[in-house]
Amino acid sequence: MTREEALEKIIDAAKRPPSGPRELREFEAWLDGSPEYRALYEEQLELFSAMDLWEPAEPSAGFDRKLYERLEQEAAPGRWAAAWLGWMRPSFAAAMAALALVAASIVLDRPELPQVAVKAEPAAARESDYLFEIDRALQDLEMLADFEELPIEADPAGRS
Amino acid sequence: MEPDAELMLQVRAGDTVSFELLLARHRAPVIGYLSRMVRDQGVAEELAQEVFLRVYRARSGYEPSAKFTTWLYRIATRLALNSIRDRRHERNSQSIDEQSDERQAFQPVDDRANQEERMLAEVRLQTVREAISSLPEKQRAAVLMHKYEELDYQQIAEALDCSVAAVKSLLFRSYETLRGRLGAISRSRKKSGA
Repeated sequence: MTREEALEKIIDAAKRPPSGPRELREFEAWLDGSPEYRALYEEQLELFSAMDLWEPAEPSAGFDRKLYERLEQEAAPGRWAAAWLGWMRPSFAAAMAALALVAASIVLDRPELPQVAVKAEPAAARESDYLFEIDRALQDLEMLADFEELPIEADPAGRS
Repeated sequence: MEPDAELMLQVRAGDTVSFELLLARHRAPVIGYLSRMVRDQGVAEELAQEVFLRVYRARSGYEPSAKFTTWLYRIATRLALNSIRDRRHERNSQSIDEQSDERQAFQPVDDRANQEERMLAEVRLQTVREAISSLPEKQRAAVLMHKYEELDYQQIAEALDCSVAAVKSLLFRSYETLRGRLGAISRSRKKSGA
């Protein structure tokens, strides 16, 4: 028997003593043949006994409630969208606003617009349309802001 | 087939009662394991929530190829190791808080002899916790699963994603370290007859 095998035998026996009287006698006889293994076995028994002092923590009373709340949230796809938009909203809104302003300034400042389009509408009407588009984009952003008001996730501090 | 795997197959078929049964059976052991791993009850419960969420999310693809407990502790161990690594920089300050929290749980009694005995027990308990917590993370996980969660070598190997021989080597080294660190406690327990 190698030392590793002996260690395994000692640890297994310290964790769960040999069940039958015959197995126990054989194990004791084996230990009697080696004072080193006998000492190791006793130390391992003491170690496990000391480790038993560390009892497991009990689950808190609200554990199941919180878990089922999270499962329900996952089951509702609208919540996922709201969470996603909520997370996206600040950067998304800023990006959209910047894009709208840049697009408007480029278009309004360009004198070499295709003549067909320019001729089709008076300049005042085109400008009005662009402003309308910008206004509508800003209104869309305000609507997105409403998603932030939705309860996306239960308060982590709510755990009891 | 093992009962947990049968329950999980029923969860896969849409039976929520079976999930409740699995939760009832494994909630306390998983939280116990995680709280010993991360030494923080709040974090342990957050991680345990994530473990059961992942089990539920994975229900549609579940195949009973491994023991359910092994799969469960594999998820728990990965989450715990990630959490420990993420929180490593906070460890020193947290351990001070934990010590004070744990000591607050100790209720002094009027009887002086009892009080001394309980204080001694508290010191021993603290030493055990510190000795196990100071093991390298993988060794700690192996010891906790072996000693407290009753997983066998094969299950621990699957949970830690290593060979059975590697698990045995981890455990032998860990127990050797712990025997050294806790030897003094064991001797003092013997003397006091505890």
